Amino acid sequence: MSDVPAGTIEATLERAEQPGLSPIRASWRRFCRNRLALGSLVILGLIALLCFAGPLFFPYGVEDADFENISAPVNLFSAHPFGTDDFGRDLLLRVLDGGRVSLAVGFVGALAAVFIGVIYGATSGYVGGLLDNVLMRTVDVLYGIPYFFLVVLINLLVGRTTAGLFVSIVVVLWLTPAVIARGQAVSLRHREFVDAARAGGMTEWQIILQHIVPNSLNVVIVYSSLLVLEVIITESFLSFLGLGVQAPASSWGSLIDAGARSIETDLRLLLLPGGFLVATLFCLNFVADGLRDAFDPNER
Amino acid sequence: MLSTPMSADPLGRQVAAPILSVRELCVDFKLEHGIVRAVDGVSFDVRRGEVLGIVGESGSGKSQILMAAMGLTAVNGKCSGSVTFEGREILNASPEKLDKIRGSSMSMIFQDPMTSLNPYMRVQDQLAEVLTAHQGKSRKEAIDIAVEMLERVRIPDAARRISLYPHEFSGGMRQRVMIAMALLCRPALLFADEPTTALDVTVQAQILDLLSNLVRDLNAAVVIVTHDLGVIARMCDRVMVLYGGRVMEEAAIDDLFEAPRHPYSQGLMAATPRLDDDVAHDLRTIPGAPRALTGKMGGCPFAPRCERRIERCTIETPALLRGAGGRAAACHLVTP
Amino acid sequence: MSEALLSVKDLKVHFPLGKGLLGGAGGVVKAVDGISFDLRPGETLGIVGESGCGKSTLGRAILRLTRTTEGQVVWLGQDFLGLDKNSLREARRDLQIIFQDPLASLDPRMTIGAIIARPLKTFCPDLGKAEIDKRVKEAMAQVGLAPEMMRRYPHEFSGGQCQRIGIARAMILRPKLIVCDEPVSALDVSIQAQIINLLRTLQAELGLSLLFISHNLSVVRHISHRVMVLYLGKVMEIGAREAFYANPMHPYSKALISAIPLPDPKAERARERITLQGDLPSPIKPPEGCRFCTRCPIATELCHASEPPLSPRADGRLVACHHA
Ligand SMILES: Nc1ncnc2c1ncn2[C@@H]1O[C@H](COP(=O)(O)OP(=O)(O)OP(=O)(O)O)[C@@H](O)[C@H]1O
Ligand SMILES: Nc1ncnc2c1ncn2[C@@H]1O[C@H](COP(=O)(O)OP(=O)(O)OP(=O)(O)O)[C@@H](O)[C@H]1O
Ligand code: SF4
Ligand code: SF4
Ligand SMILES: [Mg+2]
Ligand SMILES: [Mg+2]
Repeated sequence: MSDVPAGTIEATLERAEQPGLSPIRASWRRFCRNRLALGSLVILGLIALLCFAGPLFFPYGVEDADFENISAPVNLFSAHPFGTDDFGRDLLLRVLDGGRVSLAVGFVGALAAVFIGVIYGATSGYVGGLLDNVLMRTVDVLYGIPYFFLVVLINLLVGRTTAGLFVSIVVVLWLTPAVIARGQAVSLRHREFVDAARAGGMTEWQIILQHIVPNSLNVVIVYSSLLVLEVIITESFLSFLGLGVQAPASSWGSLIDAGARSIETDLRLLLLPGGFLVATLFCLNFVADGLRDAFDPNER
Repeated sequence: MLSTPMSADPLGRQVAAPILSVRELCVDFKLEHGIVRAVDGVSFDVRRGEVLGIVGESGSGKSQILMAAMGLTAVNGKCSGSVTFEGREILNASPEKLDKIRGSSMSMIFQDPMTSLNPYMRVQDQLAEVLTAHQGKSRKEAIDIAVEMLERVRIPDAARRISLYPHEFSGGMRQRVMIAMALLCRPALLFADEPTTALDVTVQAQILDLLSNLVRDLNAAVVIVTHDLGVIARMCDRVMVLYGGRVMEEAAIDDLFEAPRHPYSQGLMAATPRLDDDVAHDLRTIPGAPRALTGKMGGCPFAPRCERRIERCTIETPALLRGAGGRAAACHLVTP
Repeated sequence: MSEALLSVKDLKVHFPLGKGLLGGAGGVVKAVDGISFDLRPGETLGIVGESGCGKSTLGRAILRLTRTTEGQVVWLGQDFLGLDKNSLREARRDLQIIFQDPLASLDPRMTIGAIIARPLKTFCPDLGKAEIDKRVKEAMAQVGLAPEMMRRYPHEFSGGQCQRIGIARAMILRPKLIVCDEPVSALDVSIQAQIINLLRTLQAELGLSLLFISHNLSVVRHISHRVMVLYLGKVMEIGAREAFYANPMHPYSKALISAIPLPDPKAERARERITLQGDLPSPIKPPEGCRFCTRCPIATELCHASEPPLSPRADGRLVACHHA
């Protein structure tokens, strides 16, 4: 019993010297304790690494046809470990290269959508009044436009390029983060720390960027992880329909499309990109789940 | 008169059996770096027609005692010990069993009115639900009763305002809505956690009268948690002083206010501003800050701030000793 | 009488009610309805009154955190409400606020060091990091917080500590006026006493003025030089502390004083309390004549017919009542 310090106040002060645990870091710790989510994140990282760094180690390019090995079978010890397609292009390389596009569009697209959406929504919710009305009615109108109409329209405007695909995805997907961020901002606007900031002489922009946006992050982080998932699916779907990435560029979606067409002749063309896509989607889903549990504002 | 079971007190007199009886209640919370013991072996009884006050440092576990009794401890918390309501064990009881008791004979006024009212539901629906769910009243009847209750807690324009959402009320009005909700089912046991902090003194006086009437008319029992010693003095029959999750002193109010025995109770009394004290001087304070509840504890919880601390205080935890006249204190220097 | 630091003239804040909110269309809540007072440097004015009578709104309107409908706020001789954006920012340096709910007034995502430093960074952008650090630590020491706590987050502190953080933030720019909106009502007695002593000390050392809003009349008595009683957005009585507590003149003030719960059970049982009967008036349709007439124990015909002006009495007090 005597090992208990006499004054617990001293003990408290001692603890005080360590920096506190920020809400984000606390959430991160909770996330790390979720094995499934952490594992999925690691696998996701490996897939990304493979897609982005992998192709550098191949002695030939994506489009290089190896005419001696057309439709080569799977042979892990040959020059084409997963074989080649009917043009003699290395299958694994094509899938990895397609992954680059899919993942890049997914992450960058989600990021862009979230960025635009959060700033837009936070401003709308914080300023309120007429501006809020105008901005949010705009969102409603955009929501009302059929998705494919927008995609085709943008395809026409920007051309059928990867950039065009990217734009059409972002244009559609920033709406939900905007609505979410607005909801957060409305509830934060009347919080006293915002008044304190105003009394402290901060300008409205400073308040939005330094108080409103960071405090909406919780919800936004969780939502973004789901959004990445959504973007990748959307991109794959569009590409599958032929509205997305155009040959010679490829993504998992367009590869699956190609694979589906040669389903009778060569099942690998479907299974390999499909496998990567499904693995990625599963991992993303678990990560999103983990993030939600870790960041759920109700938990703390 | 309601029939009350009788039992014998230690001196062999016949007294009413307690309606609520708490024994060695502990509430532990699991945290990132360990376990916090918010309530540490608290025991007390409340009888019908009696008002028990609980005072104590902020964070001393006052609310958690009530939450444990109501079966509302947060998910990361664990309760042990025993809480009996009219002789039935209710600590960690099944939600169905608790629901029955909570809706009809035991209710609570929560400390934070904003978070305990559903923001997405009209006040009338929240109030009516209590009656339709537990007393089988029709919706129309229920709303009429609810309006009447809102009038009794002094909400102006009650009939019109009852259809508003909680955020359309001012802080003080929300608190009164909570009070109305808790009183709707005419409970036999009422927990009131800081029921009047957001109210001005005249409305506070009316609310306290309302609670007194409840005790008188229904022979109910009330447990009030508050920082305001004035409210305690006005309402209570007995007081329990809490510090660091443990009971420091328990006494009838006259005894406590006349001669607080525990050093913490004394500090509390001295720090209370009065209408007749000398304003030229600073208020007396208790130096130091409340201790963190984490980590291994031993000794008297008040020791780090106690002016009368002796060596034994930091080593041995003083037990709550009961003495004559229902007084009890937990301090090495005090014999109750 | 020294020059007023702040003078509020006939201030009105009306909130329009959204259509259908209270059943009827339109309507306004007259939260603050013509309030005037002066505040001298180094003085504390206690503001008391019923919940919902407009105390917070008044404080917020003075700081321009709420839009004013009518009236004037003269701050250091200049028309505060007419200031443009930049001058307003500059003026806010001297005007700070402490909120009722200590935790809610701190951004949960900032360390307390950053929270306290924020006003400094806004107003003195060219201060070096070291200098800011030094001043933050000074401010923390002043309110009794260990400087080592700088890097922790608000949720790791108790209510009383959070309130000190709020005070440190308000103090760091050395303002001339702090509006305290129920700064101690969420705190327990020993911390309440610490905060009141702290404010008194800071006031004595720095000569700042306080507008101290509270329900707790014993606390108001301890900190204020003068007391102002509001009822439904209007001033009922304003006067020096001693006189006010010894002999409240307005019937509402009398009721307030007699309703203060005394921390003494014997005195509580013995005393006569004035219980207010009658309907609580709605702030949307205040009663004709005297606003207090629906609940006043000594109301007469005259009270229902005409509104009493806020008129001076022998001891310099201002009271709005026909019969006081
Ligand atoms: N869900 C929880 N997880 C961890 N700790 C908790 C939780 N709920 C309460 N606590 C801790 O339990 C202790 C007692 O809390 P409680 O709410 O009972 O205090 P209190 O006496 O009611 O204080 P106050 O007067 O400020 O309301 C506090 O230290 C608090 O931090
Ligand atoms: N933004 C708003 N919109 C509409 N009505 C409001 C608004 N803010 C305040 N009110 C109303 O104005 C009146 C005064 O409110 P205020 O918050 O100033 O009261 P208070 O005196 O501070 O009360 P309390 O002691 O309960 O805090 C209340 O009737 C309230 O309902
Ligand atoms: S046991 Fe010791 S430390 Fe605790 S209150 Fe008594 S004298 Fe003070
Ligand atoms: S004017 Fe009349 S109603 Fe108003 S406070 Fe005085 S006596 Fe009462
Ligand atoms: Mg509590
Ligand atoms: Mg207020």
